[in-house]
Amino acid sequence: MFKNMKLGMKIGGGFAILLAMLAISSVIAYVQFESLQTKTQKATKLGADNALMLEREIDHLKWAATLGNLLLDDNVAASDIITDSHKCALGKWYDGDQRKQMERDNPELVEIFRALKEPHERLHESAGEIKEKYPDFDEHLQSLLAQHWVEHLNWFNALSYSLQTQRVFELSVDAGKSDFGKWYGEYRAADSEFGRLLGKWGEPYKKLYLSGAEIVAAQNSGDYAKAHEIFQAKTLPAQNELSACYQEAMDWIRAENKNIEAAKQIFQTKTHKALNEVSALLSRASGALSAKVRKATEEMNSRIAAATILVSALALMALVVGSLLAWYITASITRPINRTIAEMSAGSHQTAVAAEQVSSSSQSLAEGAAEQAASIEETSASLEEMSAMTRQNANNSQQANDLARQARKNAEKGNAEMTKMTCAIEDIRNASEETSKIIKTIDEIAFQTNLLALNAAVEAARAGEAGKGFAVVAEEVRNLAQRSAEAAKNTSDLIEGSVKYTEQGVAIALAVAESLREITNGVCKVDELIAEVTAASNEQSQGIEQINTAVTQMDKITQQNASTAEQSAAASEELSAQAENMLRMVEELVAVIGGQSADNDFTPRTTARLAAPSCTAFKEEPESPKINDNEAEAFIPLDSDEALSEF
Amino acid sequence: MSGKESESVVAATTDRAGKYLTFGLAKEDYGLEILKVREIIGMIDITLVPLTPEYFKGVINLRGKVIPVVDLRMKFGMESSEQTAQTCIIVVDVNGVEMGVVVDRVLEVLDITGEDIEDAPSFGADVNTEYIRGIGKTEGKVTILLDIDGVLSSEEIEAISDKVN
Repeated sequence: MFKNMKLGMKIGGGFAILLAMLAISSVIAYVQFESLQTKTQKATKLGADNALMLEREIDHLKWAATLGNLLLDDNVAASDIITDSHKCALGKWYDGDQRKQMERDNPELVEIFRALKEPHERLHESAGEIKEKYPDFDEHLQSLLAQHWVEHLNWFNALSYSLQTQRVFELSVDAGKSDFGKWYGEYRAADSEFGRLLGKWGEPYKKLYLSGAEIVAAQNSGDYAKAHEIFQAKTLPAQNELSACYQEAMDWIRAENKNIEAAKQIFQTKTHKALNEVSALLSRASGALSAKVRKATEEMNSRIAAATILVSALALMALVVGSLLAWYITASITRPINRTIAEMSAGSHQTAVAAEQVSSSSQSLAEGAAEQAASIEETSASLEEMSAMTRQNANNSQQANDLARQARKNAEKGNAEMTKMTCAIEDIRNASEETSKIIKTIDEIAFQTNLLALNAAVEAARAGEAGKGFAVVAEEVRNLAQRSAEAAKNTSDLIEGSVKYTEQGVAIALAVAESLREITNGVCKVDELIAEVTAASNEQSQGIEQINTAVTQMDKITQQNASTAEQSAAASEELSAQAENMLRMVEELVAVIGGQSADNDFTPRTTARLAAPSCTAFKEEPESPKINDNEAEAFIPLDSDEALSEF
Repeated sequence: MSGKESESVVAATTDRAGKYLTFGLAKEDYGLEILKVREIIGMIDITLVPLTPEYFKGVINLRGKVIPVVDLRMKFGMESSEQTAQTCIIVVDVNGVEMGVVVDRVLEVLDITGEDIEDAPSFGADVNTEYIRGIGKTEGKVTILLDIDGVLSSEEIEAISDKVN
């Protein structure tokens, strides 16, 4: 079935089978991957959920860390703490669709999530409590304030010491330029209460520094007493006022520090417990999800392994079938092409040889044409003679016609005479028969006479001596009787002969009459034939004239033939060159089909086969038309790599 | 008269020379003593007589006399032949009884001398030598001279004559 297909059908069919197999394996792979993808999506979803759980856990750990930091780190503000259980990351997620989706996907988590709600709320409640307790100020504020206070006291002591020693106060008296002043100018209290308390400091501080400036002015003028007065009058009250303010602020700070402890207590007891519960629940959820993820991953792996085996098997099968098909199609294409090439190659050899023969034949044809031209001239002369002879024939046939008519008349006359002769012969025969009867009678008489004579002799013998004379007579009588019998017998023979001849004569006369009738008929036919001959001669005469014109044309054509033969000789040389070209092309084709090494596989066999039905002209050639490899290479440069490279 | 005749016949017999009527039977020529011959007639109608031997052809009416006729070919054990124009009946006198003998042809009356007659040889001829008087030599031919009395024995003759008469 495959053998009878067209080339396109073969290749198309092969590809169709391969494509069909590819489509089947693709569909199977697609189905496999589709289910795999579903599995993967499921596993991914579970993984994502798991990650989400962890994230939520981490979120809350972060949240707890922030809460812890609030208690430890000054930089963390209480406002950063999320106290609403619905606003934290876990709460948002818990209230959102994501949780419901997860519960739908994983029913075992529902209980965990339900349990989660209560400790989570407690956690945030505890945070709220902490936030309520926890003052919004810097924990190190006490020490900072004490430090700056010490600095200020140093400045004040230095001032009082300068008064005691009666030396000029060397430190800055500008309120904004002292260390304490700088801090105070820059510090902005977070707590409003503390701010209010700190705000009270401004007035005495200003007064203090102004008094300081006055003291320095007095010292510079050398009026140490005045400086002392100023110190007593202005500086000390300001200092006392400032000191009261400091005590007030420190008392407030101490009160606040107690709240911090309470908040820490709450964190330790409530928050930590709730956080642990939340973490445990989330860990449980995460663990459940992790188990599911593991299971899904295992399923996925097994499915992947199965799909891999199936797809590999299909691919292998496709590979095998494809290879077989490719081999078969290639073979079915290349084999006939190889055959064709072989025959083409042989044909080209034959063509080359034939072209040479055509060349020589054309030359001999040209010579022949010249000879033919001469012959045609001779023919023309002969035709004129024939024309004259034909005319003479026409005349002669006319005379022959007259003679034939005369002959017919004579034959008819002869026929009539023959009839008369037949009658005469019949009469003669009758007469002979009559005579024959008479002769028979005579013969009988002779016989009787002979008997009588014998009887007489017997009687004479009886008579003895007396009958001697009678015996002689009887003897004589008997002799006579015998003679007469003999004569009768001779006559009878003669008459029988004449009767026989007469009968022959009658037969001959009949034959002659028949012959004469045939002659008459023949003469009639001759008459007709001669008329036809006359007509034919006339036609012949016309025909010869036509032949004459034809011969003239033939003469022209012969000359044309001569030139044509020369042209065909040239053309045959061209043909020879083309045949060699064709051989070279065939070699290229061989190289294309079978590679460089395959070019000698078929040439000798096919050449031998094709050489068998060669014409007689081929047989006259001294060299055999069979061409082996070497001769073929001699004909065409088979290993013409250089020639090919020129292409 | 008949006694005289028989004496002369005996004398002729003892002396075998004399006149013979020769006739042909098949290829051979035979001779009869002329004195035994009564008459020679051409072939005439023969009346068949029943209950007779085969060689006895029948009887003829010769001028009012009934004569028995014997076919000599049959008698000699030859094949009988067609009757021809030359077939004749020779009427012979056998011991005083006239009998017709059918022969193929009658030849002539020959006078044979004693030197020309020899005894019959003991064998080699178509017929029994008892019926042969001798062998006549004539003109290069051989003629068998028959003893007609021997040929037609008296018993047979009497038997036939009795039947006829």
